[in-house]
Amino acid sequence: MAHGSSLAAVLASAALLSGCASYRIYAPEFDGVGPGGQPYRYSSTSVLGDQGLSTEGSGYNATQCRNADLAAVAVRRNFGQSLLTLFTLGIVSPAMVEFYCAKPPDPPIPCDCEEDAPAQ
Amino acid sequence: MSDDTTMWEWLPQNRDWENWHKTIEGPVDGVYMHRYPPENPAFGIDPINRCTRQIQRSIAHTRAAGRPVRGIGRGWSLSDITLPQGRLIDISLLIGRKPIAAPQIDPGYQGESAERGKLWLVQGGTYISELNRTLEDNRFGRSLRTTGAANGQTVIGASSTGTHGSALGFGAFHDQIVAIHLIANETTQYWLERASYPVLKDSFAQSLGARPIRDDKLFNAVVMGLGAFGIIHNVVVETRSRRLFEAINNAHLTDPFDIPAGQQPVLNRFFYDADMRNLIETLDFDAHPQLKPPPGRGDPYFFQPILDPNTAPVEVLVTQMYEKPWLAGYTPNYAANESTFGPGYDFISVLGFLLDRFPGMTPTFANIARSQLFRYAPKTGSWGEQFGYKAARTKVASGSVAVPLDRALDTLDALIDLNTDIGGAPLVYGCRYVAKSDALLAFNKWDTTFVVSLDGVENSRSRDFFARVPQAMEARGIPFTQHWGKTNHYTPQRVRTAYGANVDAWLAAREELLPASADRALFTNDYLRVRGLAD
Ligand SMILES: Cc1cc2nc3c(=O)[nH]c(=O)nc-3n(C[C@H](O)[C@H](O)[C@H](O)COP(=O)(O)OP(=O)(O)OC[C@H]3O[C@@H](n4cnc5c(N)ncnc54)[C@H](O)[C@@H]3O)c2cc1C
Repeated sequence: MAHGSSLAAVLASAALLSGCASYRIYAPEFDGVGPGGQPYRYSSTSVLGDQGLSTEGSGYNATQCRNADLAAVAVRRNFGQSLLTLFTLGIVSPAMVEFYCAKPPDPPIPCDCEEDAPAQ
Repeated sequence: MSDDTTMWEWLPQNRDWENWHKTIEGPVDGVYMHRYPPENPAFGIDPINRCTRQIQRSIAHTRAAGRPVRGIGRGWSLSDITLPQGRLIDISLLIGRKPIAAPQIDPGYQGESAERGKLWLVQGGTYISELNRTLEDNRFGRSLRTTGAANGQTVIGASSTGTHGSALGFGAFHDQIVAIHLIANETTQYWLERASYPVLKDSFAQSLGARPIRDDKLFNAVVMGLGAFGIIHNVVVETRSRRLFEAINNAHLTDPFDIPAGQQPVLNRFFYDADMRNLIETLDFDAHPQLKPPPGRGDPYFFQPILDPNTAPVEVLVTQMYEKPWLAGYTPNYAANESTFGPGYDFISVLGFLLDRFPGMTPTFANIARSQLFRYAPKTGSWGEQFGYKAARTKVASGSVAVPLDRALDTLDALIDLNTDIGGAPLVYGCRYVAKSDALLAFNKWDTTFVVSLDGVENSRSRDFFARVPQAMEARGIPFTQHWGKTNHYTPQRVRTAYGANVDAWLAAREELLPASADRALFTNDYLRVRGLAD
């Protein structure tokens, strides 16, 4: 009985925690952009780890960013994805990857100003 | 490749759209993504006209599909004002900006045109962060007068809902805008200015193919236009010379900027007592025993007390910012530093950060908030540094209620009583001061508008609290408005009571600028309908 209830507690906390299991990297000046403020998203399943297979092949090419860099990347797993990863000891590991592109370079600013503004 | 290929993309969406803080979601057919010309020409008339053509193409495209559309900024609003029940036009990659050249300025301009680089033409997708960085650069030496706490909104996203800070004696973000380039449909563009405040010569509008209109009512309707007038492509922003701001939190007992390196500042603790109430209501800094300006200084440029109603007695955290001249050779560092918080007042994202790390923290919210929200050490920086990047993206709650300053204490008392009634909602009350705006639906509508920003943890109690705030205000007979871009409970009646005849003027402006009902319908969403601002 005690065993059953602690298992339930573990599962409940796993459910809670995995709901927000995510790993994120942001550029320090995060001016990321995605359609309508949303990140670009793709879901991928890694099979057999780092050098193994992935539904996205060897990696995902963020062509949406055109020539711009990535501004942020987040990897998220929901409860089901975490469970599958757990039960297959990480051999099959699905995740949702979200990313924002950096803004392209600023358009040049035509200006008749001097090189340095006066300190004021 | 043609502009049609390189500057325009239709991206159908197959999952619900979500706002930044994940509190609003709903279906969106897709997003029209606009790009600046790929050869990245210097910002000016030709690239603007090329971008305009693509925006008009999006409008034609959505009309052909029979679907409504609206502009989208960064998606930061915490109300459903962004949901189009159709499509979105995203111009956040259109980020041109430049100072207006002197020969383009109308001779009737009253804003000291001799001040170099005062007027800036800014493309609507520019983030506040990008504008800060450019203006404050040594090349230009300029600054915004005010922004919200964080810097992620687009210029038009921020202005369309009334985003404000707490710069004493100045209005909201949109009060810096003095001219608007509005795309009303596939063929009509307007260049709007106030008749009482001309800015550019008509030849500028003509080079865009836009009809110049100088009319106070029309300008004041569109400048904080809730996304209802079409797509705003460019604006002219009035800037000031850059300054540095010294932020003091909880007024150090010693001169905060004279603390020997390595020593801890000595801090006061403040409560919602008679002295604090007097200061909040009168802004008489000299009358407060500890919060009077340091010797030789005038009143602060920025002031924000934050009440924590879940402590007994109610504790208050205070930020004051004093301006001082720019230091030659000073270089701002805008990079976000996630491990510490600046003395800004962005409770939304600070709490997002906390919730990320302490998901079960709601009951202990007050203590954690008090110890974590403030970096007590003084900080000096440019405007853009003080109100900078905030990275956390998570579920948090935020709404605002605004009142005339002479009802500030009644309002805080009403909110504290409501909190007690509810049994404690995990929200703090950030008090901000915003000068009156001429915009017809601006919620900073009183000479000094006192805005209480209610920020905290999103849960059933905070939702209940937000829903009951208007009733609490009505029960005490306090006139009030609410922030359009945060959780609000406006009904058509409440909108009428708050804005009176300005509602009719706003509706009339919409009919004048979008005379065809089909055009108005194109830029109408449920948010406007529910509040009695569209059929
Ligand atoms: C972290 C955070 C901090 C905040 N801090 C503050 C604060 O300190 N003070 C404050 O007042 N508010 C604050 N807010 C609220 C926020 O500033 C407003 O909701 C603002 O409107 C969001 O800007 P956005 O660019 O995300 O616009 P969105 O939310 O994307 O859009 C807002 C409105 O603008 C319209 N719009 C956008 N672009 C265009 C366009 N080109 N043409 C026509 N219409 C357009 C949209 O249709 C919509 O109606 C904060 C919000 C967050 C998430």
